[in-house]
Amino acid sequence: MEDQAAAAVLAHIEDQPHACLERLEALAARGKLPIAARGAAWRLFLRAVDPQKPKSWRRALADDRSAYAKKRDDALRRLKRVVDGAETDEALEDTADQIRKDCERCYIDGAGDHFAEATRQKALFDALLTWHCTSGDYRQGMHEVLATIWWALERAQGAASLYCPAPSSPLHALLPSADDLEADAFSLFAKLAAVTRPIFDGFDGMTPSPHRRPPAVELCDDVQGRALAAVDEELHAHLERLEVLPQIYALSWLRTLFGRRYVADDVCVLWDALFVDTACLSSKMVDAASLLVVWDRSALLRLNAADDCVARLLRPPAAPAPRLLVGLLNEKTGRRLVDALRRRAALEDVLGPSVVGAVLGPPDRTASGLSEEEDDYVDAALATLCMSGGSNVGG
Amino acid sequence: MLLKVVILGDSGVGKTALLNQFVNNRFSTSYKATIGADFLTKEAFCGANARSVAIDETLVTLQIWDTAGQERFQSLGVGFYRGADVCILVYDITQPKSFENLDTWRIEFLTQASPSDTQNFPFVVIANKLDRENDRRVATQRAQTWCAKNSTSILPFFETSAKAATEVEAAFRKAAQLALSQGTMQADFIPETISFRGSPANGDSKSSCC
Repeated sequence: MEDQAAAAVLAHIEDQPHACLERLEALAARGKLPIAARGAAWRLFLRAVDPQKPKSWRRALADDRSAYAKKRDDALRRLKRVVDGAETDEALEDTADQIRKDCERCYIDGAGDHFAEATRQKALFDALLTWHCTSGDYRQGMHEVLATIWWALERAQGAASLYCPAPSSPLHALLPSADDLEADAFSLFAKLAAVTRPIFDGFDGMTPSPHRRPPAVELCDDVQGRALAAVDEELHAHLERLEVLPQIYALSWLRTLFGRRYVADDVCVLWDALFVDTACLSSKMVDAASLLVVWDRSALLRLNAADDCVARLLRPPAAPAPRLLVGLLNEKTGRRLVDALRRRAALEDVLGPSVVGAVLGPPDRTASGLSEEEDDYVDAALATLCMSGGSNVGG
Repeated sequence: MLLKVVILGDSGVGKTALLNQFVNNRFSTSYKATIGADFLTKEAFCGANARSVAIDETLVTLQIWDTAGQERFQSLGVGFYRGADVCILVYDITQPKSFENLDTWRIEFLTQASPSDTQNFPFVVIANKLDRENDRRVATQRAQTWCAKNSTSILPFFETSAKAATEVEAAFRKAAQLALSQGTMQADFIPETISFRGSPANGDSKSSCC
């Protein structure tokens, strides 16, 4: 199934790259990208290869892989000199320790103990150290982002096992290869890290002040400020009045690109949509995070102390199905979600939450009974959330 | 009464594990790295001084803030540390570097939290991972010397194991006790804690309905 779906989507990538990329983007934006096409799609979305020049792909990827091997050897050699005392670089030693510790405790929800395996841990460590030595400062959270990329590539490869384009074709080059997982994950990670820079940028050695705050904290402010106000003025005003600090709950959502809110396979669906048009990746992430706040609006509005709200946001109920979140992001408005949740809360006030839960199902299961082929997926999902018959809820 | 406790220390020393052992009496071998911050609350009976008898004990809610070791105050902001009643500094007995960094953590905390009485602000030092005694690289004596040097009175020091639940309860109790006596000594500290209201359980009142 999966490999056939991927084959259908990718069939004309070589002769009609532009049309095929548009098709991939459209599927990703609706949360419907086949797993087997994910590795190829991310390479195109993140511009690890030039989508318009299929003939350049094989060469570009081969160059990338050999460049990675060289950079990694340099980084490991440098670390060894530092550890052996031939060179002094305390900061590098500290960061290497940090990366090692994080890789040793890299537990991705939904991936079991996949990353507890020693060779995978070593590969993650090597790739992150290489990135740190060549591209920027390592920050916690990056380890889980890299591991999720790794997971997606492995899954795509497994799903595509029956799907074999001609070995000499550009498409063949684009599919994930078991032998190059580390280099390929590194390459995608480096592209992603470059476009998510504000999320990870820190302020090392600098005293925070009201006028100079890390970019990540400003993004967190946008989550609870601009983005939330745009869709849910009531909840925005509530959290602002209580003086809830958004960075306390939103930082880990953003730094893991929602890996702490979804299991691995689900977060990949969200990433598919986020990676379409990386120019607005940050703002899409902020919008997605604000929708996750909206998702729990009924409970949050009942809490009248900042600490209670923060406690709730730190241990939130299950998030909405990724396809619903992606669908709402695509519409660029979450107001319809607010309306649906208001209606659900009104039903709960009359019937009690347990009756509503029993009849309509838990909110996060809203999308589960709906067909994958459904075109008006968001309408249907919102309707089942609050037992509303019509679309255009709250028009 | 609500007391705000902040746990600081290098990445991987066991801050999250200590907190979980104290609050939930549980230990896991698979803690993820803390990103940003987290907090848990626990109610406890606690006396303001060591000699107090049961009848003097107050029911306190400890709101314990766990922080990412890499964060170093930059992302959480000054407001996050304001109103802290006590700070627990943690190092790992198998990692000398994490012990050496206690100075930095202490100074940064005082700078950011800016308590009214910097000299007497209560700290508790925890040396964690006692279950790995065979890999110990920081001698008890060395830590005790550090504690004596950094305090005008006594800086309480505990060697704990979050894994084996050794001395964890005692260390947190001591922290609570210091916070409580600090609060009673300094009236100007109390108002800041009033803004934190109760535990998550009491947010449900429906009195304003027409």
